[in-house]
Amino acid sequence: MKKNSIALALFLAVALTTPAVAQSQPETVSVKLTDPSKPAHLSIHIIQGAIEVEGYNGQEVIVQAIPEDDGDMRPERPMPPKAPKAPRAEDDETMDRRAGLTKISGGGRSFSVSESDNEVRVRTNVMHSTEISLKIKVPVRSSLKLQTMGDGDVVVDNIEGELELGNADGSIKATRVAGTVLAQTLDGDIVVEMKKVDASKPMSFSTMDGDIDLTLPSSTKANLKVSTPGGDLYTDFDFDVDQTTERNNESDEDGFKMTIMSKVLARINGGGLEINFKTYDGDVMVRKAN
Amino acid sequence: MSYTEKKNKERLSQLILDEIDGTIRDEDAAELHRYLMTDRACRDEVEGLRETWADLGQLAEEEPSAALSQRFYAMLGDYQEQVSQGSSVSQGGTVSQGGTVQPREPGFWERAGAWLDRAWPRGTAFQLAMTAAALVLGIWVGARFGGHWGADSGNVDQLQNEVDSLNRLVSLSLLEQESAAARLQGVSYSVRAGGDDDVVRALVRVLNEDENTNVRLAAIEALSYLAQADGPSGGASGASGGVARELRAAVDSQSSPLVKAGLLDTLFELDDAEARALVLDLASREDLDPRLRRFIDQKLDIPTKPQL
Repeated sequence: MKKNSIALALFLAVALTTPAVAQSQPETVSVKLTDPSKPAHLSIHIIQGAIEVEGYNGQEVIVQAIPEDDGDMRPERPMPPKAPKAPRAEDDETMDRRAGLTKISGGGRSFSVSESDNEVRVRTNVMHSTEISLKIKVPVRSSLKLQTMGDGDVVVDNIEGELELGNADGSIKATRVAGTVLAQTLDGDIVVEMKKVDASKPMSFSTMDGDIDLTLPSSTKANLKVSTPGGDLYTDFDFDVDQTTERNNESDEDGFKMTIMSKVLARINGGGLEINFKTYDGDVMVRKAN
Repeated sequence: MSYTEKKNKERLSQLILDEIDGTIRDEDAAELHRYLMTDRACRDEVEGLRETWADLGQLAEEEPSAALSQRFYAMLGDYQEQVSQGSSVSQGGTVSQGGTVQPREPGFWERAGAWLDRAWPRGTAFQLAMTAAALVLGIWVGARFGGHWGADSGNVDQLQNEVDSLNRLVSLSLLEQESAAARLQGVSYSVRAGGDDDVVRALVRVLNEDENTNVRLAAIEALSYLAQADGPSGGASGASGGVARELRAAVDSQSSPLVKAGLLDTLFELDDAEARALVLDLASREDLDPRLRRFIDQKLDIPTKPQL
C-alpha cells in the first residue's frame, strides 16, 4: 500500500503539474541513476505508440517523448487554487518517504517518468488518449521491460541484459543484444539478433500472427521447442530432431474438428539452453550469426 | 441485471482497482482504456478515486499507541489462558506444560525453504551455482542416508526422490523471482522435478497471475505435462482432472488471446471432455477478439470471413 501510494503520488505529481501545452512538442528528460556503476532497469508501459531503445556509452537514461496527437479526452477544467498547506508534523516523514525517488517532468499530462534504485519507469495514463512515441538511450548494460499495446513497433539496439519485450499490435525488432530475451506479440513479427546469449536462463518467443526470426551465435548449444501449426521451422544450424508431435481430432457428425498444435523438439550443437517458440500463424527461423 | 452484465461490472471494478494501485496487466490496461474512452462519467469517477488514493499515500503511518499495546497483550493473555485450559493449538504451535505457546518446530523442508527464500540471490550465475549446490546436496543426502551408491534399487530411488525434492524447492523459489526469465526457468524445473501438489498450485498461480505472457504459456505446457505424467485419475492434486479444471477456468479469466489459444490447445491435448463446448461457446461470442476468432475458425475449419 505504502509503496503503491508513493508511486501513484509521483504519477499524479508529474501528470498534474506539467502543462498540457507540452503535448505538441517532443520533450527530452535525462534521468540520473541512483548507482551508475550498476545496470539500469528500464520499465515502460504505454497504451499507444512506438518504443525505441538504444544502448550507448553513457550513464544516464535519456527519454525523448514524441506526442503523436493532442487527444486529451476531457475538456480542461479550471482547477481551484490550492491553499498553502500548514506545516505538519509528518512533513519530514513524507519527504523521507520520497527519498531515493527522483521526480522528473514528463512530456505532458499523459505520461510520467520516475527513478528509484536504478529502475526507471515510464508510464502513460489510461485516462488520456494521447499517442506517444518514445526514443530512449540507456547504458549498454541495462535490463528492459517494454510493453506497448500497439500503433507502433518496439525497436531495441545494443543492449546487454534481460529483455522482456511485448507489443500487442506491431512488431518487435532487437539487434546487437546479449543476455536473455522474452518477447511476445499478438499481431507482428519478432526479429531478434543476439551477439551473445546467457546460457543459464531459458528464452521464449510467442505470437498469434507473425514470424519469429532469431539469430544466435554459431556456437550456441540449445534445445529448440517449436510450436507452429500454421508454419514451419527453418534453420541453418546442424540439428537433431528429438520429437515431433502433430495430431488431428477427427471430424464428428457436426463437422467439429480441432487440430492440435504441431510441436518440434530439436537440438542444435548438442543441446543446452532451452528456447521456446510459439506462433499460431507464421514460420520460425533460427539463424547462425555471420 | 443479467449474469453477463453482472460479470462485466465485476470485471470492470477489478480493472479499475488494479489500475489505481498500479498492478494492472498490460492487456487489461488496454481494455480499460478502451472502455474509459466511451464512458465519461466512469472516467471522472476513476480520476476521483485516483486522487483519493494519492491523498491516502500522503498520510503518515501511525505508530501504535501505548493503549494499543496494552490491548494487544491483554488479548494475548486471554488467548494463552484459553490454550492452557486444554484447547489445542492447531498447526501453528504446541502448548507446553506451563501453558505458554511454543512455536511448532519447523520441519527440515520448511527450514530449508525459508533459508532458500532468504538466501536466494538475484544474480544468474549465483542462481545456477545454488542450483548446482542443491543438486550436489541432494546427491549427498541420498548417499549419506541411503547406503552405498548403487547398492540396490531402493537407494537409487531414494536418491532420485531427494534430487526431485530439491528440484521442486528450487522451482518454487524461482517462480517467486522478479525476473521473468528466472520464473520461466522455475517452470522448466517444475517439469524436471515431476511436480507435487505445491508445484502444481504454484504453476496454477503463475498461470493466473504472472504478468508475462511467455511465462504463463510455459506454465500451461508444464501443467499439461504434469497432468499427462500423472495419468487421468481425475484427482485435484495435479492429476489431469484437477489440472483440466484449472485450465478451463483460466480460459474465461485470461484476457490475452495468445494464452486463451494455448489453453484451448492444451485442453484438447488432454482429451478434455468439456473442451469442445468451451470452443463452441467462445465461437458464439460476438465480442471475441478477432485474432482469437481467426484461431478458432482455423481450428474448426470454418472459412474466415473477409475483413470489411
